Amino acid sequence: MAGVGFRRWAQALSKGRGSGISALLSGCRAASGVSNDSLPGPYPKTPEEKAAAAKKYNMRVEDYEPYADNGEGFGDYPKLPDRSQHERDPWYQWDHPDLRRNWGEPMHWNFDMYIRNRVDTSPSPVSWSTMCKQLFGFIGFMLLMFYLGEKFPSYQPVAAKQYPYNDLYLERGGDPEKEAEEVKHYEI
Amino acid sequence: MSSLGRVLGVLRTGSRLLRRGPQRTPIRNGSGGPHIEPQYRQYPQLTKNQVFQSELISGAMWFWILWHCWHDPDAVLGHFPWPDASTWTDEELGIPPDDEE
Amino acid sequence: MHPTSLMMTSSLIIIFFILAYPILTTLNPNEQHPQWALSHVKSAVKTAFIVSLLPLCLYLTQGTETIITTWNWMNTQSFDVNISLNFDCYSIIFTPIALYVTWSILEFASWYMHADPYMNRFFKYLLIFLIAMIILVTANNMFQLFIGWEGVGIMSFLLIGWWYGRADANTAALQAVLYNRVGDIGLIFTMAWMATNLNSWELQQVFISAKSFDLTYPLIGLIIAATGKSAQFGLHPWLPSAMEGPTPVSALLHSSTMVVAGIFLLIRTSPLMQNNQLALTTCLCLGALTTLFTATCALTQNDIKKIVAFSTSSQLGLMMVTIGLGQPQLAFLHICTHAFFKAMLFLCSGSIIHSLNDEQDIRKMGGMHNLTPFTSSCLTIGSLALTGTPFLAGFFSKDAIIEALNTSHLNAWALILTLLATSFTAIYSLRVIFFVSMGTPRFNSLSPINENNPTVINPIKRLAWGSIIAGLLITSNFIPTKTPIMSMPPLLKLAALLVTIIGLLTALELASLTNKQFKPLPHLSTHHFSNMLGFFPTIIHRLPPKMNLTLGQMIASQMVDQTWLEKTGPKAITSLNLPLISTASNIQRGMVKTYLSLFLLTLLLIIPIISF
Repeated sequence: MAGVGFRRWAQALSKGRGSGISALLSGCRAASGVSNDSLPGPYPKTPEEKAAAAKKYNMRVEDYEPYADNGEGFGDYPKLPDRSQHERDPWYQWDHPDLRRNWGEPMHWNFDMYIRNRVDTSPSPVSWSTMCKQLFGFIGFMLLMFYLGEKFPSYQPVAAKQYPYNDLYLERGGDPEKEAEEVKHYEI
Repeated sequence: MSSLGRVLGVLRTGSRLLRRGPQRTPIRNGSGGPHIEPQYRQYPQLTKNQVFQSELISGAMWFWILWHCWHDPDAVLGHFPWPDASTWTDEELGIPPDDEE
Repeated sequence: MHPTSLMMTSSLIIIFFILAYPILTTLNPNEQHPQWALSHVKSAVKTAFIVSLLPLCLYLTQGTETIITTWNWMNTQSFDVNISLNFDCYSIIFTPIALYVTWSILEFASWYMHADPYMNRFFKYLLIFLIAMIILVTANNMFQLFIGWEGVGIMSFLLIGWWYGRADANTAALQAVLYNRVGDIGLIFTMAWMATNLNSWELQQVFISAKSFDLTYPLIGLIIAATGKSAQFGLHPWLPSAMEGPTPVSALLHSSTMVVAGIFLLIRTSPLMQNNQLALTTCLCLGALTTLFTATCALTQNDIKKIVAFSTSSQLGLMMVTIGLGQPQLAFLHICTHAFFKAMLFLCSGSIIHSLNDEQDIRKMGGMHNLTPFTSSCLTIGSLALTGTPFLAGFFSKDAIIEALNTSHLNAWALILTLLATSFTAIYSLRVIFFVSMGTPRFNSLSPINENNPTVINPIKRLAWGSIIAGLLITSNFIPTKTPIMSMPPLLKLAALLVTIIGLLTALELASLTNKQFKPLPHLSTHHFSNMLGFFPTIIHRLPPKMNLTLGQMIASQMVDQTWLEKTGPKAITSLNLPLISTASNIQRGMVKTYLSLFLLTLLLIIPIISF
């Protein structure tokens, strides 16, 4: 690639139309940042400006609502409802069926978040709070019961554990001076 | 008695259906396995091989289960009887009778 | 080298070469022959299976186990990475099973995928997956195991997203790969811990040198790895989503081989875990929670593949419970028997789905026993084996696990959950049979139902024989290292069977309800919980991604771009310069007095400078 670039540069220089450097520069554009006309315009204040902005974004004036003008750089970009592409009709003939989007349709500011591989906002049969309550309630209940189960383990012993030497009286820190009481594990 | 008659009737119509079914659209043995025509509201057509295979495998399963249940019930019911301590006699345990000493 | 072990190692190396050969033929730039899939891949797997029977026989008759370290791969001053293969009882038994199952599934896939334009590529993916799986199973080295682990992960991603034109399939593939990455964090963490503290990745050296360390953190890492790969609670939603892939993929990867890799990792590293009570309890509780939760989800699903997927997840939970019980060999036994009947259940459902024009909803099936008698017989056998009917494959492992649970000293709640999940197994298995094979047909009457194809019947038949007799064959030849408890009260002995029968009776009762005239059932609040998978995917797949993405955008645009890059850069310079500029320009307003006073001021300043 470097070789190609160098050759082009040399050609541009040898052509001698205008100065070589400026001829090169006119063809390139800073890769950082978007060009001015693809940035949102200034925040619309008058109804006329609003109508113009709505037209620019292919929207009806009634639907058009810009983001609040608090200097975050949204400009006149329309504030669309937070609806993901999941919610759109799958059977409609979209211009771009994979994104479920028509040509020239305004895009949500966070469009990349609401494509079908990512956040889904389609309505659920149960409300969000009920879902959270039930799931976290379930997990919490399970954790509590595991804790209790750990406290009261399940085991079916045939008999109590028996150890020699009076159930390990000395080994368990019994007083060697005193005589341990006789432990009987059987009854007759 | 009437229920028996009804059952017989069902069986009779069923067998008639069975006999009639495949005659209408015969199963063709084309290239590579039998070919079943697309059908609409007809009794299902099955090849004999298919039915035989299915009965063979189910029969083999039941034979396997019952054979082992007969010859090897320990695996399900327990290999050794669980000792019942209350039936043990003092003599078996070697405990002297209470009045000794 | 001893002749038997020489024979064994060489035959296992031959397996690798046989399997790698079809992959090598794809390096040929010419287009593959359309029959390449069957002529090369299937026959390679079949040959490899037959070859793998030799080491299996040697192991069973003589108990030969070998470890070969062939090649020092790379070494630093104190750390070696070798290629070393471990042919112990686990890999020797699992390799033929994996090959057998894969052979059957490949044959089935040649029928199921016959209309796919890229069938050769599909088979190639499956073969690469199989090689990665065998690398994973035979690895004696964490690094080699990691290669196999990632290999099966990548192939799973590619195969789930096989129909990449569908957004759902892409989402499912992404989910699988992301959840598995969470698990990989745990594995990499443990590997890093081993490398820094134990200076080795060879498993035997690790086991010996790890005795003097507190192993809690590395074990938690391993458990996270197993949670991701084996779809345990918390990282489970990818497994049901993975059903978007073709059915042979579900049968091979997401039931019998790949998903057990996590459990297999824990079985391999079980000597580390044996003395760590915390890790064991975590495994036990995690497994019990998984097995109940996923069995609950399976109860109300309507997609036949989802039901089978959830039952897989439930069985994986049962295996995890067994690991937590300190019985890795029983877990391994369950892996082996489970592979047969779960692969067969998937093949049967694949056959039915294909026959009904890609209909997966069990409510739109029914009466399949009259139309596809063989498939539905095998579906019944598979379900019976899954529920643990005596003397079918599932019984020998499942019953042993539940007996071990009953007679052990363990968390009571884990025991209750496992028993409950066992009875749920019977309920959803009967539900599948009831909706699919029994009753009257509810599908489109133009469905091209035909199972008379040797490539359908033969694989299912092979796996059906496997699920009938494999359990007894494996248990009678596999010598457990821990003595199983043989004597226990009849109630404990029969517990597994009893809960299954209770489940069956409940399911029959419920089924008889649906036979009567339809009555609107009272609204059950638990139905939504079960049907929507416990709300887990809904909540977890909506809230954290939304928060993360919004936060990420805030940080990127509002914080970094607007605050730091703009405010401290251009705008700060502007605000610094503006006062200077305005003062400088405000002075110059064309007023003679100002100029004169400035002139005087400069003069006054210059005079002292010059004079001194």
